Amino acid sequence: MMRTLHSEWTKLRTQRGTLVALITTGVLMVGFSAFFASEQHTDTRFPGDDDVVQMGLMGIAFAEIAVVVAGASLITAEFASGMIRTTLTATQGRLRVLLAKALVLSVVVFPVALATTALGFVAAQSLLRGNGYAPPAYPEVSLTDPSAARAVVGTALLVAAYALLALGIGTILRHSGATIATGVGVLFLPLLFLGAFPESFARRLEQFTPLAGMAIQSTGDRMLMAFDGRSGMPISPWQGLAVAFAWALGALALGFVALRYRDA
Amino acid sequence: MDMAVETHGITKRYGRTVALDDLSIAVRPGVVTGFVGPNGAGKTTTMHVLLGLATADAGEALIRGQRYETIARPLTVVGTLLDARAFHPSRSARSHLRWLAQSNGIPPRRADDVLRLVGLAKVTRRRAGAFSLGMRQRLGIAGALLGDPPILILDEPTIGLDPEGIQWMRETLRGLAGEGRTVFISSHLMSELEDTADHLIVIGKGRLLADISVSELLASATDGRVELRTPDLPAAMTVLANAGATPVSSGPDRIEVSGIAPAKVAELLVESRVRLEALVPGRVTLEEAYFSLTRDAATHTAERATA
Repeated sequence: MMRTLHSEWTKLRTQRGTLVALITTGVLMVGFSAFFASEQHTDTRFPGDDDVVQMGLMGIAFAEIAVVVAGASLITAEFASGMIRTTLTATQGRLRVLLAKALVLSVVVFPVALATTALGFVAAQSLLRGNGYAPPAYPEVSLTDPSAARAVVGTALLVAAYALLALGIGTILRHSGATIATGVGVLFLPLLFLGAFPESFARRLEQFTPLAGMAIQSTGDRMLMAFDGRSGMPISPWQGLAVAFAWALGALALGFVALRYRDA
Repeated sequence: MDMAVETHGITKRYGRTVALDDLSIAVRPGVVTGFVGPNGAGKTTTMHVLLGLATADAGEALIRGQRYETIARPLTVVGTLLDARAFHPSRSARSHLRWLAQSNGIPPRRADDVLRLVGLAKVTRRRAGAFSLGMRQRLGIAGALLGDPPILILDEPTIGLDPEGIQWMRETLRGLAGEGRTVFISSHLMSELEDTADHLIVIGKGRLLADISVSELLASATDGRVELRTPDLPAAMTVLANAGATPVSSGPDRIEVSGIAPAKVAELLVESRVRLEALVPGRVTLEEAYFSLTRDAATHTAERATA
């Protein structure tokens, strides 16, 4: 297993497409967290009801697209070139190949996501303060506040979960375009349907799709900022994150079955 | 003794197409074995089954008596070349061999060694995507040799090589077999195996057509054919025909005759005072021999089908 890990690490380090997607993930995380914050202004009629922690983490809405590309490319690039056969003939056991890829992906994505999420968060807080989110209605939040720290670390974990989800889908579909389309679809379609369906069904979507992971960003009583009308969390932050990881594990498990039983 | 590489009645279907039909082959160490058949005969599928990349619907494929999937550090047992385009284009030749070496605990130094061995020492840092097909084949061979394996399974290793490259490949493969390794190479071109392979396994439509040594195949196809040159063509034709042979004129002063030993030809002509300028045993190319073999097999198959 160590040999396979070492080998997959070298592959990742020397795979330009994946590296570009990872850098893009980080840039989007910082850039859009800051951009979003700079566009938000306090509504003086309802002081203190906005979740400023979550407002500093909105970069994920774009970073997740790039991280899907990164996770997918780790395996679909091998299927595209046929190199997957070299990988499989060089490794005893298909599970080992997929596990090594998942581990290597996680240990690269998580630190990148954590650093850029934190950076974006800090930048966003200072921009928000300039836009009226200031004490007394909005007490200052810092990275060391437990709720903020949970949201930031949780967001980075969520990005890793989405990367693993994409790796799993890529192992099943074996095609870059189809994988990215499916991955992005799984992440964004529930969001599109939220407004179109009755609230009871929308709640189910928030509880059972990978979207549930967004709960980890919330420090208020609303899960998603876009849906101002509803209050009350459909799922707790950590449970939501667990749902997102369950999706990732499910996709990886199906991916393993496909890798094990389908001819390469 | 276990054969280095063997299959026992492997059958593989893709939908309604039968790719391999109860195919049993065995490959010996120490010689170059050519795996021949037209495109679509099932060569690549057989290799994929041997390497655990495809699952056979029936039968089993073994490497030194065990299934490929059960081999730990497989690169140190079997070196493979499957598809010359199978590199990530942005990765350098050296990085490609590095990850491959690491996956089997082979020292990274070995990557540079094999690159030198295949003549790519000067381009180790260049992107594999910028390589010509010939260079990619060399990189593929480098990957196959990385683990210094006793068995080599190479799918169309000469495809895309220039004459110099083919010559290099020929010498390399013969050298590897000479060291006692098992060298199993597929080709759809018999001519590329001439002077390379010692033994041939011929398949068509997923079935075994022949398992024969190259010298036997050539001898059988030559079939006692003799070529001779004489200024006295009509006389020679008559003498040979009278002796029960079947002479065919193949030029103004040339005759090809079969069904008679060369010594007998000389004796007859001398006795009849027909002048003889040259007499050589007929030579066929491997390709001609292969065509006569597959033609027979095709007829045989057709007969079986109508019977």
